[in-house]
Amino acid sequence: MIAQDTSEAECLAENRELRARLAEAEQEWDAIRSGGVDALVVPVNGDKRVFTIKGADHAYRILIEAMQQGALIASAEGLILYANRSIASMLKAPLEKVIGSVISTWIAPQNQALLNELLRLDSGGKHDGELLLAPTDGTQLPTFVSAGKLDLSRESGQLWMVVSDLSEVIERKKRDSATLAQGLVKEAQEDADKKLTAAAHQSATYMRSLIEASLDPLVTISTEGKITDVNEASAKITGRTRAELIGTDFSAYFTDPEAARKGHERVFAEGFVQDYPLSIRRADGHVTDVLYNASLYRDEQGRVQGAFAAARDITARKRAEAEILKLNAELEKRVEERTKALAASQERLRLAAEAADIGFWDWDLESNIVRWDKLMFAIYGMPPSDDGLIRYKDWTSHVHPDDVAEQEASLRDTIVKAGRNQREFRIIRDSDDKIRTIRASDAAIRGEGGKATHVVGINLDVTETFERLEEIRKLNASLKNRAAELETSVKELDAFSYSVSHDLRAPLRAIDGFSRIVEEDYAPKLDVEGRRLIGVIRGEAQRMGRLIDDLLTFSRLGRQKVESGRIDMEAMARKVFEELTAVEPGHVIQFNLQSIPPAFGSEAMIRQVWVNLIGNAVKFTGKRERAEIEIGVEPGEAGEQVYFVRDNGAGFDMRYADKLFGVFQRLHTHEEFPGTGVGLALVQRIVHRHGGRVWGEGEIEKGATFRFTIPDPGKEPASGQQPPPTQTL
Amino acid sequence: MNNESADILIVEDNQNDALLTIRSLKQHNLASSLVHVTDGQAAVDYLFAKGAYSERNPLNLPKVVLLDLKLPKLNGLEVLSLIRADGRTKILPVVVLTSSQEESDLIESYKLGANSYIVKPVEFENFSKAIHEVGLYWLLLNKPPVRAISQ
Repeated sequence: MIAQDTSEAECLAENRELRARLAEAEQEWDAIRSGGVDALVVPVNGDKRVFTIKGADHAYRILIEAMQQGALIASAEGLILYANRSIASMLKAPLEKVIGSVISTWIAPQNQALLNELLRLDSGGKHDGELLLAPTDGTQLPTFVSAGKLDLSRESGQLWMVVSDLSEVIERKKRDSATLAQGLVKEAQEDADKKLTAAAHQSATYMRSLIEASLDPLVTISTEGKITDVNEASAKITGRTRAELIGTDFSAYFTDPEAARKGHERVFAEGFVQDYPLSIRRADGHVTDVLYNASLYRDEQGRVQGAFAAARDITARKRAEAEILKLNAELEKRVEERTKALAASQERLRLAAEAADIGFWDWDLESNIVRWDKLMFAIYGMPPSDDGLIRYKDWTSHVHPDDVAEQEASLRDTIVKAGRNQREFRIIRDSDDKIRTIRASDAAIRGEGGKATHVVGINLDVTETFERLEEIRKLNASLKNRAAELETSVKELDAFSYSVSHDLRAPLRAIDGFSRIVEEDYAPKLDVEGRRLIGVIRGEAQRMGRLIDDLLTFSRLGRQKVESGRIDMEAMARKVFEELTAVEPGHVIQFNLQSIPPAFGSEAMIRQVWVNLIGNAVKFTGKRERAEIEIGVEPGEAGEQVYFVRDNGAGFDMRYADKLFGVFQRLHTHEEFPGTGVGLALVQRIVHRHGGRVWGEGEIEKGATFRFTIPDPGKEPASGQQPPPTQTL
Repeated sequence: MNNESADILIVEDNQNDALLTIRSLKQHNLASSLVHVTDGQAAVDYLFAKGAYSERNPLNLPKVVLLDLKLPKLNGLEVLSLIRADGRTKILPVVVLTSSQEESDLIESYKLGANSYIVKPVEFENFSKAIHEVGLYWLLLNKPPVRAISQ
């Protein structure tokens, strides 16, 4: 029954099956022999039989007790109602202790769930499989179990169980190789065969049962092709009773009787057939696809009696095949749909690319075919080929000679790394030999194993953009130069003003000082006119000193950093006004300071703005009996804060308004109003450095209004927060 | 002359400024003991009794040094840093007396340890007043650290 070269696993499986079948056979045999119980449910290959046994109770018990297999019956709640000696010995416990105990006591922890499943089986339900028992010595005993629920009216819900000890098999398997296992199988097989033979001798029912137990349709056919015997499965598959089938021509039950007959002939010619495909037609017309294995069988004298044929229902397999075919068809359909969608999206992409003047190319690395779209040809100024095919060297020959090596290297990089690259290079356009700048992107498409199989890419002529960029770059460069030049001249100016500060002041000091010495030491020798002239010399020297000081202040502003901080403009304006008017108590001014908002800027510089503007207002109202100065804020055109200083002083002619802020520009004589002409230039410089504007309005003898803005740099902290510390130089 | 010790050391290359300074001090009777050198190197030599001043006792330090910044050879800031680098003159009072209104000069001077920074006014009256106040303060009011150094 088994081939010599069967693998270990298969041997073991077969062994298990054989043992199971043996157990079943024995049970059946016992049941039939004894007739001592009301009924015995015997599992037969997924089917079940109920044997109702009447009569000698005692004889039945003897047989059950004699079984090598363990047997028990438990209540639906799991209480063991009956157990034989074998199971008691497997559990290494006295029989009295097993009967009446709870079954779960004897089952290994990892099989408790299985036990629960068994206990919950429906009436008539059945389970075959492995089960670990838990004998009293603390070991675990592997067994093969057949168990089920009785579905007799009286005992419904009761669990019966027959277990065969597998420990020996497993132990020896552990110790030894496949040969041993095979030996075991053989032993078991012999054991089974022996017992089966015995059983067969005891009762013809046994063989019958085995055949009947088979789910495969089995049939024996005479040399003439007449059916001599069939099993239940054959009856079922043909839709005819056994009686109807026996004696009839076997080929009549196939859709293709000719093929069936040929198979029959082949068995007799070759001794066997294997996987011979036929279709059985049932009485009701239903067709079942089967594969036949058939061989000759002989009597004890070796004479051919007929053919033994076993069919295997392959409907399920065929259905699966059909299913696969259907799935494949569906898959193909979906692929087709996706391909269409892809084509559509490629078309959209192509249209977009066309609109954007982007050329596409595609390089199949396996076939080494390069394809360009029409725009690629247009960009390179070449007539498009019909199929878009182009040679690689047709591309390289158009790339600017200075750029070829780099571009090829970049492309190689894309392929080797199966990655992507962006590049810019020059080409020489075929149509007009003009140099064009191309921006390119490419990406590798990976095949199996991650290697690049394709490279696709785009080209875009960016010559105009590039040229514009170049222009901007040039412009920026020249601006940079200009800025550098300006910085240099500012530095030169710094050096200049430094020496002015030092070297021009010293002689002035000498002129003034020595004039004074002449005044002091030679006073008796000088007349009134002489003293007046010396006074003039000294006055002018001192004025020049002030001019130099103002000029220095003005030039210094250029290189001072604007250290920005929050400035309380109102407090600053008030303080400046008070300081400026303190020295001239006789000059009464009506000072109207509105509530004005704070500003952000350099405190020292902004203070200078107030000093000069308020100072001017004070100076130019000096001849007014009712001098008025007003300081406030009004909204500007862009909604910004405009600070203003208004006076009712001498005013100025608006025709000269553009000269107000020039250095050394004065609209009044020194005799009218003294001054160096630097003050407003300084104001303008400070305001400009803060990004603001300053302008003046005036009318002769009516007064003047000076306005300025100090834009918020946007860094103003929310009120309540500490403003950044102001730093003044 | 080379070995004399004085209360005031004037370091000034501009003869006119020096003359005006000395005149102002004299007018207020503060010029009884002063030395005038015209470059930075001479100032250092004087203070450390080197070169032309090697015969001088270096422990006899002036009560105050009036130091111009723009000087031949060593400039005022260099002189100041040498003064502050030497243990003997580390705390010698130095008043920077200069035409420079540059903030950088002012800050640098104070960083190097100047005791005072005075911009020479153009107007003689103001100049004279400034010199008078400097002399008065450093020669008469200020308690000099010189003796402490000598010990």
